[in-house]
Amino acid sequence: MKNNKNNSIQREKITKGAKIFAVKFERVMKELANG
Amino acid sequence: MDNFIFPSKDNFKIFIEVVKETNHSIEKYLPPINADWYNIVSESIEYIQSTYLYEQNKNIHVVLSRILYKLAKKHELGDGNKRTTIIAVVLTSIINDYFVLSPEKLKYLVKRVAKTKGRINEEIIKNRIAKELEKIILPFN
Repeated sequence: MKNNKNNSIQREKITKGAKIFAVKFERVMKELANG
Repeated sequence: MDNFIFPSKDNFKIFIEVVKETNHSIEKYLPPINADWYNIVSESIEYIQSTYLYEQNKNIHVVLSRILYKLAKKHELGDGNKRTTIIAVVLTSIINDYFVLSPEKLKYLVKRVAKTKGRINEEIIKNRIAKELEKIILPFN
């Protein structure tokens, strides 16, 4: 039960962070992809 | 940091799924991602995790510098080592309630480590990187 709750908090955290990452890191990832 | 959380293969899967689902243009700049990518990146993290217990300094920035060094320097992927390193450092920060203040500075550090030759001064380089990460990876609260 506690584990499920922890997993869901973690998923929520990752989801939020990944969305921010997509916006914030676009330029950096583009530069690295282009060598 | 006693309760440090190392990202699992599933954590990487969730992260990549969300990045792709956002339909953001970043999708085309992701490294080539397949089953091997998930295996290599999670095995690298597991290696850092396995040595974590024996490390004296468990500071988050020191652990992140080890992850950064391991992924950027060892070139275990055919393509996208630097981009993979950035994803791993960002994801590890997120799940430990930290955020990356400067993507540009993180990119600079990853490129700097990837350029170093051999394993000379490995510990010195990792310590320097940890000090730099302290300035750009901060706690949420």
